[in-house]
Amino acid sequence: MFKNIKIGGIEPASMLERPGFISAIVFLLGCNFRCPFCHNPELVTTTEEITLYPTEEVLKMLKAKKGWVDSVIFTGGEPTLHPGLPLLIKEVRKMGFQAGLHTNGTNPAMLKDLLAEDLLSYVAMDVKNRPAKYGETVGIKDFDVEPVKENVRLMLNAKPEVDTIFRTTAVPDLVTEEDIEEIGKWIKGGKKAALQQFRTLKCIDKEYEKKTPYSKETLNRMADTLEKYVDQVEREFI
Amino acid sequence: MVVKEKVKVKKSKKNSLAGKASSVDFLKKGPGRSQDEKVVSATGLGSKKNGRKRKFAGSKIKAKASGQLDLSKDFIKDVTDTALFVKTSSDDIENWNMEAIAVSLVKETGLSAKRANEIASKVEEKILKADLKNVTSKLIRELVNAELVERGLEETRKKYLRLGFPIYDVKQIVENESNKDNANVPHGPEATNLTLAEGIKKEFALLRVFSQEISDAHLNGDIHLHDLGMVDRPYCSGQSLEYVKKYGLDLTTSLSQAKPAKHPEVLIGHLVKFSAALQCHFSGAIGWDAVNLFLAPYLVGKSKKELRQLAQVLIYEFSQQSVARGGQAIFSDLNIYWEIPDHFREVKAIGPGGKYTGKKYKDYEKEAQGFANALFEVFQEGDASGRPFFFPKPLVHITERFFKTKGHQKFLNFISAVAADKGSTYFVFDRRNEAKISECCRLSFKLKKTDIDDAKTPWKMRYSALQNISINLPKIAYRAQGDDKKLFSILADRMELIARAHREKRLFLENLLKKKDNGPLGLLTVQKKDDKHPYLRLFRSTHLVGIVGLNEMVQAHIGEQLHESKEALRLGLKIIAAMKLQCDKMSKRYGLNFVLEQTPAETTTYRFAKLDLKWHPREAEKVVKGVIENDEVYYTNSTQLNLSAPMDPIERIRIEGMFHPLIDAGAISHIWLGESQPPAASLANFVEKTFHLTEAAQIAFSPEFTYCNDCGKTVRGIFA
Repeated sequence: MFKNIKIGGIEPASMLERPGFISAIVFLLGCNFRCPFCHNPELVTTTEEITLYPTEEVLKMLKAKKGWVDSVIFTGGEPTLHPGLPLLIKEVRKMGFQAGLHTNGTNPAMLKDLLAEDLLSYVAMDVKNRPAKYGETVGIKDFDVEPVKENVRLMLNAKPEVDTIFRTTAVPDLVTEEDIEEIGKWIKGGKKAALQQFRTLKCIDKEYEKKTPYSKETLNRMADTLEKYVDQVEREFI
Repeated sequence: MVVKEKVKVKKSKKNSLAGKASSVDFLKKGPGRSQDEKVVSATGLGSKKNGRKRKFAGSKIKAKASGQLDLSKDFIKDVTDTALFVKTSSDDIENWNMEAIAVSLVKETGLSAKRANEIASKVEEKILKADLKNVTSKLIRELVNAELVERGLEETRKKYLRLGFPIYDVKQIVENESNKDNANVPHGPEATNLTLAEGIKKEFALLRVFSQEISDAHLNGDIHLHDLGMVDRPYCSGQSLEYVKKYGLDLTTSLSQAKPAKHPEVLIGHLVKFSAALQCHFSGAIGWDAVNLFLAPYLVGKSKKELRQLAQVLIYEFSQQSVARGGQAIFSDLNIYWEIPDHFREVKAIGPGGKYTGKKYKDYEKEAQGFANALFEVFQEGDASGRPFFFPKPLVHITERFFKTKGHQKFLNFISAVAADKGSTYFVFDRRNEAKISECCRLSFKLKKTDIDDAKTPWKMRYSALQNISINLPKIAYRAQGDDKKLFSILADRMELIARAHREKRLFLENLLKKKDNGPLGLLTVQKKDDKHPYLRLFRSTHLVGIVGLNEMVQAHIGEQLHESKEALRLGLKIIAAMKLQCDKMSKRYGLNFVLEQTPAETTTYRFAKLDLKWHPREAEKVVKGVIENDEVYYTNSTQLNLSAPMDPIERIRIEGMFHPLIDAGAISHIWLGESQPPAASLANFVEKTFHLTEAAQIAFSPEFTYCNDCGKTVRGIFA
């Protein structure tokens, strides 16, 4: 039934993901980005080496958590690359869970359908950089940023009951303070943005493991910048 | 002051030698003596004290010795020439007096006068032959004991033992080592006093309070008798502020007496001082019920800032009692309610001056909540360097009414934030119509119907567990060798053994309590007007049966840990259910209230694991947790699941919670947060679901901290 889904992992009870919620996080394999600073390389490229979780088993496990787990969040990799995702989300909704999605914004068509059918209560979208620097940031030459722009529009126009959040990782050198200003303008009117600290832990591009993360002061300035454009900024750094 | 108590013993004329029978060490003296003994044994030399003069022997010995002893002339000459002196343990130097040896032997051990005299003269012979200028009473006692051993008088020797430490150990304790037995004891002169005193009392307990059978079971690790060094005290005490509000602060041992407090700061002073006094009479935790509620009538009209100030005073005064027993902070619990719990709503409130205010406690919700908030603001802030306060522990009770009380969500989020950040908050779940008063982190008493009646007069709400004895479960599995029938029959025998041990301790305590004001536990026997019972209500007291290592017991028996299979879990539940059932049966049979509890002492899990590795290495090696090579071994505490079992917090709490209803004296599940700091709202969500979806009695979240010794900063997470 769920042939078009590759599940590489599951975290059955996360209190970190959505404030106020207990979430099960389902990791889907494979990504169409090659962000040099990505710290989940095993979910991006080496799909053959990972043991797949049969979808039925994941559903069984979720069933055992009913009452406890509020929402099931699909993340990756890039979950919208899996054509079977909408079906799985419907199944999860039928079981009584809320559904959430992490996306890099490259499949606005799927997001549009999911939103239209009121299947999602939570969407977190990565905004990697200002549009002009997208290709460079995600590691793909001649990257077409139009779908990502469309995705941002969908997010901004989502129904108020959908919890939407734009996430940006402050990668040293790659994402500058000026870029943050531009990102802010892009996602203006959004409900929430999150600014994440860059981690030097196991990056795809080993060069990035040598970089020095931005200081707390810089990060706070960046978050202040974002706060001019969105209602709320989560500062995900210590 | 040293009080000497002369004891009359019929002298055997034939052998009576010289001097005053009462002057030498061997005669029992009154209270305070053991203190002097320690001074002497620690310094090695008797010094002049209290203006006492040294007494020299000389002619007296000569005269009497020659008259009454059938000794050779040379021998007598030796005696007079060397003018033998005895350094006693009461800072005196006494004449040599053989008779004193015999007298003390008869008095202390009940040995026949004939035997005693025979031994005394043998000892005298040896001492005189050794050509010593002076001898210590300790040496004499050692020689007497050697004589007793030679004659096979083992029981007599045990009665004649001198308790204490080798001087090498004392030096180590006084100069170097910190107390390893209790993580909460700091190092310092008070702390080493405690260590030394506890060392002696522990030996005393094993020789005198408990029978041979029980002591052996403790020493070989079948059971663990907790707090042996405080054998002369009950274990823990839970009470309400109402007692202090109504009667003021009247400590039998104190020189002054305080009337009921009129101001909140004075009441808090009474609360802390009374806790310190109780700490000196109990070995374990001191718990206060519904602190914020009972303080509320004193807080009417106080501003937020004033409440905060009072909360600060309360928490700092508790946590900085480094002048109390052994330099320890008081192991204290503050039980806190957001809602006014059903059992206190209609109770008449006592206010300033110990007088009824004319209102009921349900009328003080605003003040009680204001103070609860203020307390958690202080817990959130931590101490001057941002460290969490380890004492007092705030235990927030959550009853059904909590969720119907205005502002509960905001409060729950707030205390969850403190839990995520500092780990201070304990969440206690009182489901249905249950009410609990919690003592230390693992110990709570469920209030029964009779106790709910007590709640109408809350100053009577005083509960105590007299003793805590833990059972080594894995060892039972080693003995059973996979045989179910054997497993349960050995378990039953151990439980009976524990019951007998409890009875022995109780008899000992009852005897101390009988002495009332003249005894060491006078404070606990005080009986106030309007109160039918002394402070310590023996008829309400419980006897705790602690559980250690269920996980390893099951693992040793069937090869799987609790979390590894349904069979393992089922066996675990069956074992605990059998233990509970037997507690109930024994309670009827013994007329004592036995209850299961989760043992709070991590050191016991280490001790059992170590002993079992020594005596049952083949079996123990397979199941102990930790690193055997580094001598860092333990059994999983109580009924908990393997700490490193790969399982999510929901699974853990669901399974651990299954055991909690069987453990009457209280149970807890720890949710390990590690380095992550989840949003408070998510923790609050988890807490609420734990209340509604499990039977878990209590939970706490454990974050990790690193405190920098150099810069004094505290940060979350582990940093090397």
